[in-house]
Amino acid sequence: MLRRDFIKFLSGVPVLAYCPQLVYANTKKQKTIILVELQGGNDGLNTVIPYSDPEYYKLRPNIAIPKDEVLQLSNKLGFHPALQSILPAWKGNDIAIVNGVGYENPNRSHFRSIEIWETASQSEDYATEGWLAKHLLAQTMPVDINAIVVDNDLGPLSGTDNAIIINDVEKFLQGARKLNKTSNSLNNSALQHIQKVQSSIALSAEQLALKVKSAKNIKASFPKTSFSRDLKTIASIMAAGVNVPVYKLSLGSFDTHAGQQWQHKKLLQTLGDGLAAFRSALQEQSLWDDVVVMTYSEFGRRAQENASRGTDHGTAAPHFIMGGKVKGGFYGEQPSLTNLVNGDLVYKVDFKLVYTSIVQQSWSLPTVKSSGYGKLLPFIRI
Amino acid sequence: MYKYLLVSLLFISLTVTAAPKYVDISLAKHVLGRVAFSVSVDELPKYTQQPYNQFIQGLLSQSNTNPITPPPSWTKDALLRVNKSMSQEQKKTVRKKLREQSGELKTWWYREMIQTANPVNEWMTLFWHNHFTSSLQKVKSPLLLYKQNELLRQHAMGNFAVLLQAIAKDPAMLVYLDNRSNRKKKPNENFARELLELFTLGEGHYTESDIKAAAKAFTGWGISKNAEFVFKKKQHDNSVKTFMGRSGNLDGDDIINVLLSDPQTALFLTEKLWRALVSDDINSAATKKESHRLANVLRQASYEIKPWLLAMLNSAGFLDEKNRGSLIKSPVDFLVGFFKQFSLPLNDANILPKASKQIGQDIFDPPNVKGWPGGKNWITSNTLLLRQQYLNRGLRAMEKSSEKMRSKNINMMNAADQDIKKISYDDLQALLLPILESNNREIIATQQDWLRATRKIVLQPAYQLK
Repeated sequence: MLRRDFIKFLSGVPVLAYCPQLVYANTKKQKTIILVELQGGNDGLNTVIPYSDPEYYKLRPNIAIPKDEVLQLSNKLGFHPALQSILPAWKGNDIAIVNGVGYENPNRSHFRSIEIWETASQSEDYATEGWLAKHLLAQTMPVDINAIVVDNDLGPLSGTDNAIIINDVEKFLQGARKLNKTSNSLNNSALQHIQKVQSSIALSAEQLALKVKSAKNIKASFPKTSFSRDLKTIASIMAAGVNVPVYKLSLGSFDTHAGQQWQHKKLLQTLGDGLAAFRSALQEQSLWDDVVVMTYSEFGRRAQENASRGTDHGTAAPHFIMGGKVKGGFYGEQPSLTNLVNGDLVYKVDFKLVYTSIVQQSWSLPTVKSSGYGKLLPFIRI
Repeated sequence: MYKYLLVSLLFISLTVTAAPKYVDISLAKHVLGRVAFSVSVDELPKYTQQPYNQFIQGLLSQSNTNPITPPPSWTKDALLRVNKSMSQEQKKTVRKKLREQSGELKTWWYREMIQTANPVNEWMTLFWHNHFTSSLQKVKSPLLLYKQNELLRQHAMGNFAVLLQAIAKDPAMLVYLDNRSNRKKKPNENFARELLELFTLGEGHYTESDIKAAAKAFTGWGISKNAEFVFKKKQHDNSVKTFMGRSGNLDGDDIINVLLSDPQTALFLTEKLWRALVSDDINSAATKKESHRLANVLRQASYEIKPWLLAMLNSAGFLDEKNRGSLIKSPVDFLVGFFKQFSLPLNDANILPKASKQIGQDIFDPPNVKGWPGGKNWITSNTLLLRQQYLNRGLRAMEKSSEKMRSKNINMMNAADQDIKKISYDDLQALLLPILESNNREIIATQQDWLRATRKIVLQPAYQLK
């Protein structure tokens, strides 16, 4: 509850105006957001495939997925065959596909573009705080740990206090027990950073240890990939009843410049099989309705294949939103394959609109001022 | 009166900016911790009591760039790779062999970093590995990565222009950034983009059309069946290209020469070395001015690396007391340093590739072409716990190690302070930490005391700093 006071303190005068909405918000079940980063720039055109468009086959004579192999979702679009295992989720209306996600003045550098996505900044602006950091301050669900990252990079959570990286819960608790308590007043920012990490470990370990003892076991089986192992870690922490509003994990590398067919297939298979297992595990624990899974990636890839049977850095791409309370179907708009700019797709939905739609509907936040990127995408049943 | 004050002020400002005359423990530890992966605690005092210039000249004057650790025997064999004509069984065998070689290659480099007689050159080799990245994961040939490592080591403190020209034709690089499949009809932009963004100018100093022109200029560069550089004339685009304002039938070498003639290249490199060697701060007015001065040193020396490195080691920023212990040790700094400081048995170096990978730095397998982000990113809740775990394990191994090794460590302590014979907790801290965290004059008398004190010291957060 201290947290609520803190938010009131932060928001100052407008707190009165927010009050009715806060009461309203609390009657709804808040969702846990799970971010899946597809590192390296996923090739959208070979993920959700415009199989009825002859232009697609012209642009990609060597790497296009043949029409009869595409898993058809509509009369225009279909999944790459490696995504077979999430077909039941699509049929169960648990997957929203947002087409044509990108941003104005796209940057084709991996590093700069993922920074733009992670900080939700304009192409020309440089920001350092992750886009979720400030939303985390405003959300109202009970919190034990602000965010858990199961890969190595805080990304969109940069600047969040008490966001921790855990790869293995047991090992994390063991290590935390051995940590020396320290304090230091030297003016050294590197040292201060280490001390901050230490106290956040101690705090989180305390919360985890309390709940992990009574944890239920997950029965659903997961594939033997490190991506699935990470998803299982998340499922276990959720099943233990630890309150964490955001998790992040990643899969890569989608940077398929050469010989992409085999590599891309393997990656999509890892993604699909992992997410399908995650869905079963959470359904078994009656938690599937409480999560919203979202994929993102620094960019899509060039419409035309290159000479190495791969694709170069591009722009817009489709992304997935998954969960028990997701309203399945297509959102956004599939970019045209004939109206390319510099050989690239023209984006239809700003990724910042996807973000706003996710946090506002998952956390029932009081509506912020119009984001300027269009109407909220109603892909979550509130 | 005021005249004297002026004179003394002048004197003070001189002593602050000019290189210190003599090296003390703290300064020796600072320099060696930053550019030489530290040194064993018994050797540290040997570097003191000499003029600073002599000390750093000595470190940089070693000219031998051949590794002293024998490389794995397969580095002399022909290229091993999976090819289409092999049976499933043969492919499996080759893949297994390549995995083993990858492990051996990594272990070999760790051993070399620990025992090399030219540690500054080795540190610079790692710096260039993080600049001109390539990964086993993509290249899939330990042999080609070994050859690239040889190239980096040979030029680590040589000439950047020569290194840049050579790395562009390095087979592992041609595979890593797909320049080998950059053809006239369908240019592949991967190498061209990273050459501009990460190897020379940095983001924001070129346009998308410069990248497209550069990619065209590099068309035709490739590798032969034996994985040697070849220029495939028929694949080269002979059209007129405009790159950074220059037009003509440019080829790859022309592009590199244009990049080398741009002052931004030296500035970009200087800021990168500054962050690795001096401080994370590159944006203060003083640092910006200093970066321009040092970049100019590199250009004036026609890209000779040694004078540039020497100038940075002599810069006021590097010598500023505020910058002692201001950087976080990379996993390699941390692990190699730990082995060197306590003379841990080299046999245990086999665990280093895995340990280093777990705390975020898998050598020969950087996360992407930008290399390791470094700085504060090295320390997360996960990596901090793992670093502590490795320290605990290493210390336990030391505890159980032979009497001979333990007495060697005790002798170190005595050698460190011959006049007093017995040393205090603070003396030991002064040898191991870049900044001191406590004030404890307790005398270390027995081996048990020594082990207890060492454990307490290295488990402090300050041990993660350099």
